[in-house]
Amino acid sequence: MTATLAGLAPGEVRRRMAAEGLALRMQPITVRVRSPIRAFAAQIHALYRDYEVLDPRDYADVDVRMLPVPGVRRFARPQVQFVVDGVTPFEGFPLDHALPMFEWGLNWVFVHRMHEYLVLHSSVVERDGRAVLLPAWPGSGKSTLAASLAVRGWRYLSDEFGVIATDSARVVPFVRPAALKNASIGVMRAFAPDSFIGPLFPGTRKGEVAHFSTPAENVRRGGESVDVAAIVFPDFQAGEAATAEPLASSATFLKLAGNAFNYETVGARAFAAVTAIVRRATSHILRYGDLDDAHRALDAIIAQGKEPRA
Amino acid sequence: MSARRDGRPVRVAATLLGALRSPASLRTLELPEWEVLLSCARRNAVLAYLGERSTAAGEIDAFPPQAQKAMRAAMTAVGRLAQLARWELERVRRVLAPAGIPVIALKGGAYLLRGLPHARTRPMSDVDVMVPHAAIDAAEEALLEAGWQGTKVDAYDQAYYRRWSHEIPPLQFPGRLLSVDVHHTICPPVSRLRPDPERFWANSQPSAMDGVRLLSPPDSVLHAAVHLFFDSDFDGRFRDLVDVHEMLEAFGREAGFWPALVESARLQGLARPLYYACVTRRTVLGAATPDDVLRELERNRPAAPVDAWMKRTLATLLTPADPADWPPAHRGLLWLMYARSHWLRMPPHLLVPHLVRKSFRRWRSPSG
Repeated sequence: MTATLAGLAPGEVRRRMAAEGLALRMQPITVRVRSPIRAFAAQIHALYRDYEVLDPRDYADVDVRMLPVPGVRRFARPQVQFVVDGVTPFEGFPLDHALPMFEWGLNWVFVHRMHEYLVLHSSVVERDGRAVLLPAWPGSGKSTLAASLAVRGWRYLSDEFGVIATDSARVVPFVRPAALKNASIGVMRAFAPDSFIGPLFPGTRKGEVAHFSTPAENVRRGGESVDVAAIVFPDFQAGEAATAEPLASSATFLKLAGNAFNYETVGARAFAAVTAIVRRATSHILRYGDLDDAHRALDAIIAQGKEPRA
Repeated sequence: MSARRDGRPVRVAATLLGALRSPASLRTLELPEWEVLLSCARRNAVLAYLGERSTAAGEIDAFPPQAQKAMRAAMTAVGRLAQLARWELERVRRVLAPAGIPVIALKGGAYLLRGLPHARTRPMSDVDVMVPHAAIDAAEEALLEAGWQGTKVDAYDQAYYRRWSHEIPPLQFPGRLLSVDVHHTICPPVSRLRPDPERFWANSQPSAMDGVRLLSPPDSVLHAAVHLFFDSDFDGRFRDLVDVHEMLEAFGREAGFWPALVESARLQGLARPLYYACVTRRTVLGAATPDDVLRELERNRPAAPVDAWMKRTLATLLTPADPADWPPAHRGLLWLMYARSHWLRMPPHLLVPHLVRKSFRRWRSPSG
């Protein structure tokens, strides 16, 4: 049995974060987070409560410090900096926005470093050993759709990244809190009143943000990779009934490759992985205006297999 | 210079320097030390370089899987940048060649075209080219016409570049990662260093890319030395010291290189930066310069107290930075070197208003 963050006392979480760092397993990586900011420590404690805590001496792939910016401005407009490897890739955020900054910063580090994988911009869910990629651009509703599926019995693998192992073309979970934005926050609260949604951060660069924390089971199964059975491009259109329009393999290939963060960097391995996925999986554009309606359409999509190729 | 974890001091800069000299020295590292070492290599932009050296030494497969993954990912990332840099250079050539404007590739792009072993390990954010001074307006116009866009919109920055700089404001093609820096010489025209660009052109050589030329080996070393010691930002410049070092290693094996280097430095009035480069390379990287070359260069050192201060300061600032230090260590020294670089490149009646304006703008901006 592994020790989860929920098992640490708040004081111990604060102490570790202010000193040697809190080391967490966020499969497929390990992350050390350090910060003297008490409110941030409490938020990490709540949002990552189901994650395995590592021994502080264990190796971490990523070492992040969230530090108050020194100087005279700390009295007037206190700011926080995201520090990784002693450098600050971003401009400071307001001090009380440490959590959204940590989440975005960690995502940024992930896409800049994890070139052993092909990294798609996509939410990922799974049922019965069949993974569904929900690739999309901001505003298409993928985070809300994935979060809503997670509270209705689907296994949730990722909010932001379709992490593809290039040797097998299987999708690797990267289970993290989903960043819900603006109207999505209210939609999720209404859809699943019992789900855990973290504090509201108004006025970030992407508007209002709150983090949805997935059921613990998903974190526990963070080491289980899955074959991709379906690719579904969500297209939220208020008031519309759900319709799934099949998409040709050629168009799917281009959309999928074009939406990867590191397709060109990974090169030939990326080409081979996308080819394998497109051959194996069905592909649809899912237009929807209602979550329950979208779920029914997804059930139908995943029930049908890919027709064997001639 | 130590990162402490678990109460144990790790002299990470020394470990990194030792590893770059001999990757086999990493065999005894424990995982927590690896974490700090990899972080330090990233901080100083040499993780891919360390990975290449470890691969060449046949050591990388013996490293823990975490270290192998980190190094291979870094090599993959810079490999892509190298590909983009060649491609961007080719695009620039396609525009400038028909306009009859000759081009010399500088820095990263030039190292790639020359096939220097460290070229594929350098992170890059731009490609640098030089065109004749008389052709710089035509070159800018041709590139703007072909779709590149100016990046400095601020009127003061525009005016600063055009009046006091040796390059025009960076050009960026929309949607592409690397910008293009077009230079007309290698030092700011108002600085006290006044190398003759004609001589660089006369010494230049053809490259593997048709229509793109390269500085001669001695001139490319001088260019790198000038940048290393006369640029304004001294934070994180270990990478640039590695550039000078790798060139001296590669070119130094060719017969006649060292005398040609000393002669070119003398003719172009660049013996001082070359002297600093050789001295710092010895103190930081432990790499020796031939005795007779060093003796010749020592004739160009500054007065003894200045010499001692500069040697110490350069060694401190060009040693790999420790990732545990944020804000960056030696901020006082960094500021002094910033002021010095401006002192060297602008006369005082221009410098004072410039610095006042810069600090005022910095104070107003939210990031600092």
